[in-house]
Formats: sequence, C-alpha cells, structure tokens
Amino acid sequence: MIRLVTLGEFPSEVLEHVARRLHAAYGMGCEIEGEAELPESALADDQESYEAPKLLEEIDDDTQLYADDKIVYLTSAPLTAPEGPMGKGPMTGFPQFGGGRAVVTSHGLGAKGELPLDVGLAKRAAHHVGHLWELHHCFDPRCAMNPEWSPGFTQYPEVALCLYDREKSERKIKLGQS
Amino acid sequence: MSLDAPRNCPPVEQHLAPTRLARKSADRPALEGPRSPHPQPGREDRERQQRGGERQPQLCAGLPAAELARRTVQGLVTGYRSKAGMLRALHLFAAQQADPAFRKRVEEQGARTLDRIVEMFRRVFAQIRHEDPELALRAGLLAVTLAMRQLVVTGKPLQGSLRVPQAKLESELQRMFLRYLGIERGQPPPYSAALRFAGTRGALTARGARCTESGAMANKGTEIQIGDGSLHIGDRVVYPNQGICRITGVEVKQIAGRDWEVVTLSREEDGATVMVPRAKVMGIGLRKVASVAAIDDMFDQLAAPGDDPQLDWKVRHRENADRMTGGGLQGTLDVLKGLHALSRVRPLPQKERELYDSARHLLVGEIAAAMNLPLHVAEDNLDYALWPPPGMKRKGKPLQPAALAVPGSSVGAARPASRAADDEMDDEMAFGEVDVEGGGESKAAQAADTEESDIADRAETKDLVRQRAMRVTAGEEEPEPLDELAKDALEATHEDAAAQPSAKLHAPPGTTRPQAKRGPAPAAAPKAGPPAGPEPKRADARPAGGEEARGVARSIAAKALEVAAKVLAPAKPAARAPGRPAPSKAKPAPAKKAAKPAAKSKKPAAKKPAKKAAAKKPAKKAAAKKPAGKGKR
Repeated sequence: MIRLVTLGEFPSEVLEHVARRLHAAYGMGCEIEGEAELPESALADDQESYEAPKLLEEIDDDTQLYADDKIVYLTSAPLTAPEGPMGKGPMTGFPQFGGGRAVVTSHGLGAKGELPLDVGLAKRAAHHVGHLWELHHCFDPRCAMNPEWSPGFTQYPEVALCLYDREKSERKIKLGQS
Repeated sequence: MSLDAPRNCPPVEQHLAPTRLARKSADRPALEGPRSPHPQPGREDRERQQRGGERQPQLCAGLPAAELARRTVQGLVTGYRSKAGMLRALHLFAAQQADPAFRKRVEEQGARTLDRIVEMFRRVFAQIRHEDPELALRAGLLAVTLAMRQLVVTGKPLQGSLRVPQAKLESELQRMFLRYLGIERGQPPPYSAALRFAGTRGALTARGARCTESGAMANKGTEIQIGDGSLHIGDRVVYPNQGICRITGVEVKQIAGRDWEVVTLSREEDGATVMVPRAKVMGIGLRKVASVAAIDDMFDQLAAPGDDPQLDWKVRHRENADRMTGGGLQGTLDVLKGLHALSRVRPLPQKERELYDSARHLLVGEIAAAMNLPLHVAEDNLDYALWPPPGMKRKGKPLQPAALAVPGSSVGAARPASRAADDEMDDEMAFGEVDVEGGGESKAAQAADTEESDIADRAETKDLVRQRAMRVTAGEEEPEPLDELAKDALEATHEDAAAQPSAKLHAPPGTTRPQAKRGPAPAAAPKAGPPAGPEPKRADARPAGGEEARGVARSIAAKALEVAAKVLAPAKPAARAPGRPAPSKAKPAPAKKAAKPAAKSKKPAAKKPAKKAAAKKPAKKAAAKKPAGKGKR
C-alpha cells in the first residue's frame, strides 16, 4: 500500500489524481492517509527550504509501515539535499532508496515549461516511489523513472513505467508482500 | 523491538508496575532488594551466562586485550539493542521513581557491573597503553554506555551533529574504545590463538593482530593479512558483481573433509554473508572502496563526451562481461557509459538492460560508500554527469544539457518483434551459460568470431548501418529498404533491431504486455525490414487520414522498385532469401541506393549475400533450437 501524507494544503482533486496514477503505475493500493506538520528542525540554513534527509528523519507522524508499505509525503516547500561531486541540481523529492519513505515537493510545478500541478506531482511521486522499490533512473524518456530534470520527464506527462522497470517493481512488490 | 521503531514501544508508565519491571530485569534480586523473600542465589550467574560468556572471567581468560575490549563493546551494543524496550522502560522508571532507595540500588547495580568488567580486564592492564588503565577503561565504558543509553531512552538515532548511522555504530564504538585504551595494535595474540578465535564469526576483528610468538606464522612477524595485505578485517570492500561488503572476519570452515580458511564478508545492501577462500581473495577481484579522488576522476570521465557505442553485439558482450567480472571501477564505468551511449541510438535488449542496471547499481553504491552520501544523491549526481540539467557545470565548464533521448524501449511498446529478437539474441549469446571466467574462448565463440571476421568491408558496412540506425531512430528518416550489403551485414551482426525501432517508438503506453504473458510470438515476423503491419501513429504529428494513402503509395513504390531491380540487376533477386516479404514501408529508393550493390560488385563482399543466405540462415534457425553443436560457451 502506498500511503500519501500531506505536509501542507493540497486540493483534494490533485491528491485523488496522484493516488489514481500511483495505483495505475504500480498496481497496488494507494490511499490518502492524512496530514502532518513540517518539522521546523529540518529547515536549511537559508530558512526557506527543508533538508530532505533530515525532514524524513524528524517528521512526526503516526503512520504505520507494514511489510510492503511506502509512505510518500507531499509538500509544496522547496527541498535540498547534501551536495555531491557534481554540485547541486534540481530537487523534486528525496526517497530513502530501498526504504519506506519519500518526500516529494510540488515546488516549481505549474510554472512555464513545467507540468501542471496534478500531472507533475503524480509523475514526481511515481518516480520517487520507484526509488523506494529500488528502481534506478531509466534512459527511456517516457518512463516515469527517467531523471526528473530531463526533457522527457515533461515531454511525456503519462505516468507509466517502461517494461523493464515495471517487471522489476512487480518482483520487488511480490518480495515485499511475501 | 528494534531501535528503529520506537513508536511501537508502549507507554511504560501505564502498565509497568515496579514489581513487573523488576521481574523482567536481568538482575532481579539486586533490584528487588529486601522485597524479595527468595533471592535465588544461582540465578544471577545463570542469567549472566546466558547474556554471553564474554563477561565471564573464566571464558575470557585466554583473550588478548584487544579481543576482550572488542567483545565487551559488542556485548554492550548487542545487549542494548536486543533489550531496548526493557532498558528504556527501566531507565524511565528509575528516573521517575520517587523511592530514593530504589534509585540507589539501580546506581549500585550499574557500578557493580562496571566493577566486574574492570576486574575482567585487570589481567590485561599491561597491554593497555593509557597511563591509567583503570581510569581509561571506566571512562571508555562510560562513553559507550552513554551513547547506547541515549539511543535507548530517546528511541531515536543520535541527532544533529551527533548523527551516526545505526549500522556503523558498533564498529565505530569499538574503534573508539580500542584506540582510547591504546590497545588496538598492541600485544597481539599468537597465530594459533588467532585461529582459535577465528572459529567464531568475526573473531579476528582486531585489525592489528600481529604474530609475534612461536608458531608457524609467528616467525614471519606479519599482520594477519587478507589478499595482498591491503585488506583488513573491518574494511569496506567492493565485491565484483555483488556490491559493497564489509570484511567481518576470517573463519576456519571444514568443507569436504578439509579445513579451509575463508574470509567472511557481509554485504551491506542486505546483510547477506559471502565467504571467500582466503587464497582466492585477490583472484576474484576484491578491492577496497575507491577513494574520493578516484570517484572525482570517474565523474570527469562521465561528464566528458564519449565515443561512439560499440554496435557489434559480440564484441560488446565480450568486453562488457570482462569488465564486470574484473570488478574495477573503470570497467564498471565503461560498461555504464557504453550502454548508455548505445541506449541513445537503439533500445537495449533485455540482457543488456539488466547489465546496464547492474552497472548503475554498483556505481551508485560505490559512490555513496566512498563519499558518504545517500544512495539517491549518489544516483542523482551520476545522472547529472550523464544527463546534465541546464546550467550544470563541471569544474567551471558548463556541460551540454541533455537532449530528448530516443524514446526507446518499452513503455507500453509493442513487444513481439523485439522480444523475439531479444530472445533469439539471448539464445545465441547464451548469456545464462557463459563461463566468462574461463579465460579461453569456447569453440562456439571462436566460430562466431571467424564468421564475423568473414564480413568484408566490415568497417564500411558497420558505418553505414550505424549511420542509418541513428538517422532512423532519431526520427529524421523513415525506415527504408536497406541495400543488400547493409541488410546482410545487419543479419550477420544481429543488429536488425536497430532498423526497426518505429514499432516500439510509437505505440501508446499500456497497450501491450510482455511476450511471456501473451503467448508465442508470431512465427513469420520479418527480421530485417520494418514491421509489415500498419505503423502506429506518432502522438504529435501525422494526420490520421494520410496513413492509408501513404501505405498504398508505398506498396506501389515497392512493386515498382522490385520490377526495376529485376530489369536492372537480374542476379540480385537470387541473393534474397526465398519467401522473405518485401518491406511494406518501402518507398522509391534513390538511384544511388539501387546502384550501390552494383558498385560494390567488384569487391569480394559482393559474394557475401549469397554466402550468408546459404550458410547463415540455417545456422540461425538451428541456434534457436539449441542443437548439440551450440553448447555452452
């Protein structure tokens, strides 16, 4: 089960759209779990964005995780992550790779050249849920696992996985359920 | 209960009465004090024995200081983790208890435990280099205990600047404790004793266990080495094709009546245990995790423009298998970059897609381990180099932003042809049965190489095929009938999938499902030309009404071309395999295309089509049935 927890206000139709798209992409249930508060202690030094790894560690919600559960936190606040050897790039979310929780931001969606809020949020969420199932980035521009900054991510708004990733995620989901 | 799920811990104040708490405690008589009418004199010893023999003086009699210290820390960490809920309740209860006598007894109990450990260490005080061994021991134990208590009482990982990953906590506490006492490299055990300790897993984690006493190995005066001496117990290493592991110890295993010294590794990804004979550690390519400088250099290479992808699947497969088996960082990088470049030209077959994913997984794991980054950040950075976002720079130089790649493989794509082609290719490649470590090549591989080398003007044909494949897949040109030489070169190198990407490119998502779920593929799928059926529509461009007229025009043009070919080059149709359908999407080929085979007729390559039609085709059909001659490589 994929559980959506909002860290802020989102229109209900947007959430329903995200839930439907996630359900279609992964073939597993998706429900809107509720709301939680953004932890102030995860604020970055600029006091505007949130450090995504810290946010996931310190978030305070009572959602229970079972064997194959994944929790996706949705926020509109900008996120940051530790800087790597290539510097800082665009940040649309942060998953615990192979873990159970991910945070996805809608920051920037709806702007010029970006996807609309509902479509973009659904695709970002599907992308990061894929990382929770240990899927890597995919070179297929129509796959939801295509890097989120690549042109294909906005060119193809459908939330769909390529065959390889779909089969891999199905295997992982079966393993998780067993 | 694990420390990672503190919320599952029930509120202690509600249902843990003092007597119940004391009943659950390991040192119940000490806690109960005068309340207990039956102190049960042997129970404390029995329970202590159950907690682990490392704290019993008689069992620890032969242990050196380093091993004793390591086991003590391990015992403390394990104890705190395994009884986290109980200890948390106990600490909270003791802190909130109004009875001062009870609190005093708790403190006395802690002090007694500390005293017992100090007494246990007293015989090895000479091996502790700290000027005051007892003070060092008490202070070190205090640090370890306080760290674990923080975890247990708060139920959360250490916060802020004290954040330490749970998995590393034990080893880091051990290292800290050993170094603080100054016994990490001091007073090592004899080699025979080391082997005896090695009977239990991870017993030789004292990194500097040198051999200084009598014994076969003792005279050499060397450390207990793994491999060429660069590896030590506790190191993080890269196991080829497995990922990041940690060396946990050296064990002696009895296998088939022989004693084998095996190095045990714990795979960090899932905790699986891997055992490698000590003598073969270097042979399998075990190496340390790459340094930060090596990773930085790797990113330079990733960000640099790459060479053209290798289109010959045999060469590609052989090279990639060698690189992955070698396990080196450079080899894995080359596999990833090569397949990534290829994926921008044509969709990858299933096996190569798996190889691409595997190489990516290994690199991401190593980057994360070397630079202490989360896996997701490591992968993002890897792709910043492969697919640079706008504005991305590398060492001051702006990188070329990624363009829209070939919409390649399989998002809801029509799979039958590609699946059939891939399966056939996989069968011929015999991926699952390849013995890549064998060193020498099999007869089948040698025969394939000989066959491949028979292709005349290979560079020219490959170049032609590559240019055409790139044009077609980039959407600049519709698939058109290949000239005979290029077609046969495609068949010979199994690159025919490159010529038929359109069926995969344009199918809407979700319209198909895997071949395995759909049943057998259509038997008469054309191999070299574009698919015979109506071409799926591209989402953005062509008006639907024009498709039918276009198809009619194409078929007429194909007929006209066929007639013209018969008139102009009567020998050519004989070279074409009988029964092969004419490409349905043929359009009038330019004059130079029709003239090309004739122009090449003076070269030895002109004989090739006939040879291939006669010899290659039956071999390919036979390969699908896996005859005895096409055995394991």
